[in-house]
Formats: sequence, C-alpha cells, structure tokens
Amino acid sequence: MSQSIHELDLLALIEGELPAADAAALRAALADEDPRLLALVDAVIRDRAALRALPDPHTPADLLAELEALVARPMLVAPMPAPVRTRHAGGRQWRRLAIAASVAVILGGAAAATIFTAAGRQTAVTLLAAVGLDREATPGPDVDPARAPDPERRPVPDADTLRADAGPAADPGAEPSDGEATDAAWPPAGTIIVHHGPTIIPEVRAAADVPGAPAHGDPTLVAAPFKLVITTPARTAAALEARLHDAAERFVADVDARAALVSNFTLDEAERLALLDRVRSRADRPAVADLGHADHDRATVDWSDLLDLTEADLPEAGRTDRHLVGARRFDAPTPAQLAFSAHGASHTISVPASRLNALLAQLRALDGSTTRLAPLDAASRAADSFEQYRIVQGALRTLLADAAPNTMIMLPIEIEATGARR
Amino acid sequence: MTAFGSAPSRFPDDDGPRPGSAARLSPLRELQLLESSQAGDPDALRELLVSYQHRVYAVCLRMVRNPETARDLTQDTLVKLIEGLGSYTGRAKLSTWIIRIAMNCCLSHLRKQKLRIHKSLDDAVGLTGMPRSGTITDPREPGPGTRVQRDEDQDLLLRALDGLDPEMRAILVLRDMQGLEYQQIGDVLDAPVGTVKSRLFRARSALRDAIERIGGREFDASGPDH
Repeated sequence: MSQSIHELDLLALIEGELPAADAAALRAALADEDPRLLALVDAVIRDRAALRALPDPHTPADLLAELEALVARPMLVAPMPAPVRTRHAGGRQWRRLAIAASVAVILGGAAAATIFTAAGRQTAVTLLAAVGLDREATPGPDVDPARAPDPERRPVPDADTLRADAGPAADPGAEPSDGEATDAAWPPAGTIIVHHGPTIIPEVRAAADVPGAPAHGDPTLVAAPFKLVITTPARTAAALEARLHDAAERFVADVDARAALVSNFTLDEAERLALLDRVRSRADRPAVADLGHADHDRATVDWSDLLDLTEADLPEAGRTDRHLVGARRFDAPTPAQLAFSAHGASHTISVPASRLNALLAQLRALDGSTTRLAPLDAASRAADSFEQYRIVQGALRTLLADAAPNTMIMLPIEIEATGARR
Repeated sequence: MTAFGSAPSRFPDDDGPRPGSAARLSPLRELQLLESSQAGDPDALRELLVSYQHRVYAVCLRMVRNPETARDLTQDTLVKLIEGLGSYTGRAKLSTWIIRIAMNCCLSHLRKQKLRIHKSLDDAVGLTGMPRSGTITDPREPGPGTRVQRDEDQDLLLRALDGLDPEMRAILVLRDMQGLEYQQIGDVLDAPVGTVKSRLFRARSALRDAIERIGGREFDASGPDH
C-alpha cells in the first residue's frame, strides 16, 4: 500500500465517512497508484452493502412461548427491589431509593424543593431534609403488593371517581374495593406507572389525612422542582391561556376544591419589581414617579434579589391580585410566583399531591396542545428530552417520597407558543 | 402526555429499518419499560423481552449460524438480562448492554466449541498492501435481480461470514447487521475505538478473501449500493 494512503483512510472510504471531495481525491490517488487496490475497495464496499441488506432472520414462533415461561418462572427472575413501603415505613430499601433519587436531583442541578407555610413565610428546606434523611424514619404499615393498584389497566377515572374527599378520613375499617390502594398505602412508589410521557402517580380515591400529616387548616405547600410545559402553535397561544383557566376551573369543581391557580409575574413585571427594589434600597432614593417600561433599562433581572420579597415588601404598584381559580388560601405565595416566573412559568397551580395525576390527565386534554414535564433549572433543560425525562422521574419520586396525600404541590405551568409538536 | 420523539435511524445512510426487522422501541419507551421492570412490573418486563428477542436472536444466529444453538444462546442472553436488570446502571445504552450480553454468550460458546476456522488477524492481507495476483473480478451472473441469484449471493455471504474468526465475525455483525457505531462496538467488545476500526478493516478484508475463496468470483450484492 502506498505510504500516502493509510489503512484508516481506506476504512473511512469504505464506511462512507469521507466528504465527497475527499472520497473522490482518494479514489483518484488509488486509481493512479494501485488500480487493483481500488477494485478491492469497491468490492469490499459492495460486500458491506450486501451485509447491511441482509434481512433479519425470522425468530422462531415458539421462542415467544418459551420466553413467557421464562418470565413466569420466579426462580429465574432476579430479586427485584422490594415493593416500596409507605413513606412512614421508612424501610431501608425505600430510604435507599429516596437517597438515590435525591442525590440524582441535586447532582442534576434541579432546584431544591422549597417548603412554604400557609402564612407565606418562606422556609427554605434542602431536598435532603425534605425526604427525611436528617431524621429517623417512622415505622409504619407495609404495602401489600398484591393489593396495590395496577393503574396501567385502569381507565382514567371520571369526575365522580376522582371527586375529592375534603372531609374527614374514610372509615379506616372499610375494606378497599378490588384493585385500589388504601390511604395508608399511599404513595406506593413501587406502583408508579408510566404513560406515554413522564411518570405520573396512581390515583387514590380519597385524599384522607395520613397520621402525622398536617391538618387541612395548616397545609404544607411544596414547590415542584419541575414545570408543566404546554406547547401549542403560536396561532392558538392566546386561546390556550383561556382554556387553561377553564380546565383549572373544571378541576376545582369536579376533582378537588382545594386546587388554586394563580398567574405568575411576567418578565416585564419582574423587571419592574427588581428596579423598584433596587431604587428603594439606594441611599439617595431618587424620585421614581414614572417607571414606565419605556423608560427603565431592561437589564437582566436579578432573581436572587426578588426571591426575598414577600407581599409586604412589594410596593403598592407591585401588589396585584393574581388569584384566578380555586381556594385562595392555597395560592402560591409571591416568592414562589417570582421563583417560577424566573423559570418561564406564567401560571402556578396548587394541587394536593394525591391529585397530581388527575390534574396532569386533565391538562393534557387541552385541544391542540402537547404537554410534558420539564426540569426547572437551565442546566437540566439543556439536556436532551431523554435525559430531561430521567431528571423529572427522579425529581417526581423524591417530591412524593415524603408528601402526604394532602400536601399541596405547587406546579408551575409554562405556555410555550411554537410550531406544533408531535 | 405525549412521547418525546421517535428513535433515530440506526442506519443513517439507509432510508429505513433493515428488511424484515421488527419495530424498535423508542429510547423513552425503553426507559419506561426498564424502570417499570426494575420495580417489579412483569408486563413491562415481558414487553422488554419481546421487543429485544428478535434482535438478540439475529445476533446469535449470525454468530453461530445454527438455529437451535442460536435459540439456546438467545435464552441464555435473556436469562442473564433478567438476572442483571436490577444492576443495570444506565451508563451504556440499554441496547448496547443487551447486545453485549448476547455477544459474550456467543463468543463464549464458540470458544468452547472450538469452531474457529483459523484465520488470524495478520493473515488478512487483501487490502493491506499485498493484493492477490491476477484479476479478481469474474463475469457477473446474469440477472442479479432474480430471487434465486439473491438467495445464492446471500448464502455465499453467510458462508463466508461463518468462515471468519469469531472476533472478526462479531465486528461485522455488530457494524453491519446491528448498525452500531464504533464506540458502541467498543463498549460491546470492550475495546477502544482505534482497535475497533483496525479490526473492522481487517474483518472486511478477511470477508472479501473468504468470498473469493468460497465463491471463486466477485460477490455481487443485490442490496442497496453504498
């Protein structure tokens, strides 16, 4: 072989990896230096094509039957992780899963879960604390995996089935109907089901209080570390907000009266607030009589400053009633709205953790739109959709690991107006 | 919720899947089934096995060429898959991991059977600077488009493939029949990309030699040209 033609050059030519001009040049060099080698290369190229054109062999039909027997034979099935216990069981396996999920979320850069009290005071709690890794687990009843629901075979529940039980807990002595989980068994993460898209949790009939969970009068608001993105063609984006409002109203009316939808701060509003905050903190306090958008500098908003703001901190001009639908006492507080605004979410809906599934099912039915759950932080959003899905999976499990059925999850919603997606 | 998207084409220079191949799961659906399987969902496990059985069987059959042996090796692979599912970390693609299991089963079997037709890597001289003397192109058979000709060509190709050293056969099966990229092949065979390329070059040369030796003529592919 010519010293100027390397084996890897020939391989690249054979594999079709060379740009057309380079391939032509190499062919010309071969034709000039060694025509027989060129003929061999062409023959190898045809061999390659022939190999790639070989049809896959027909798999024997009885191989499937043997596979069925293989799956059914328990001694061949490796020990799977034990059915996940209730959050109160605090079993070692569950703690390992929770630890793994929380570490994945932290390393993935997802926003830490933030817990807000009903009074609006922000108590930043790290994700580790949120999943109970800083305290002893409380023993509780195990889950009978045989009685866990198989949501894959259940249709999406209708409104009557999903109607929230905002009252006292159901009779603890009552036997659950076939295929349903008891409240004490919720959330049985071992029965997490997967639809066409992000994981959503199985439904439970009654959002009854779990022993140890806060009473309804003092709810715990937990911010989801992911957002719901509703994508719609630009031409229908204006109408989508109205449909979102209607869907939320139906959810409140038909599913759970505790749900609450608010509109978050727009970027313009946030910029205005940031400017007001900067001005207010300046010693010279110049007059700020007119801070119309046309006048102020649309510099990047410093969200870190805004996250410290509460309703009381906002100047009069910044205080608006952002409540849209549902129970006002479960509105996402101002800091949460600002935080979600920073991530592009125009709305936030608060929903009991046990109803998250039903909410996602309802919102996905908005005509002309597609929905997905996406991580909040920019670093995770830069990942491909496959990796985003994994991040959201982990975040969802971690979020629900320590959430009671009546814990209010604040889910930010972004309306994305683009070309229609499949 | 909508799925995130369809799986990319495994053969970027082809128009679609291999002829006769079963539809493959999208990466997202694979992940969903994997996680459900790991959580103990037998239906998800079954769907995962069913989706991969064709591919595993194809690898095994092309490696050992005996349907009964290929069936046994497929079973072995799927058993190992089930047993190892709990420890799958996701560092490699699921398909790469499964194919690696299958290939290891096949190579292990072949080593035990000592079915190697000795052909060391150094003997592959067709494209390495020592071309065969004389012409190598024989007149083509008439009517390359006929079914009989195509079957004969395929049989010749498979016989030539079967005559290769298992390691060289493996790399051609992975590259051309499974459509793996160099890095994926390296992950399956536990070899660096540079070594993969070098072995691939020699394997192609060895296949050409085998075709000429068995067929006594230039092999004329009936499939799509490169």
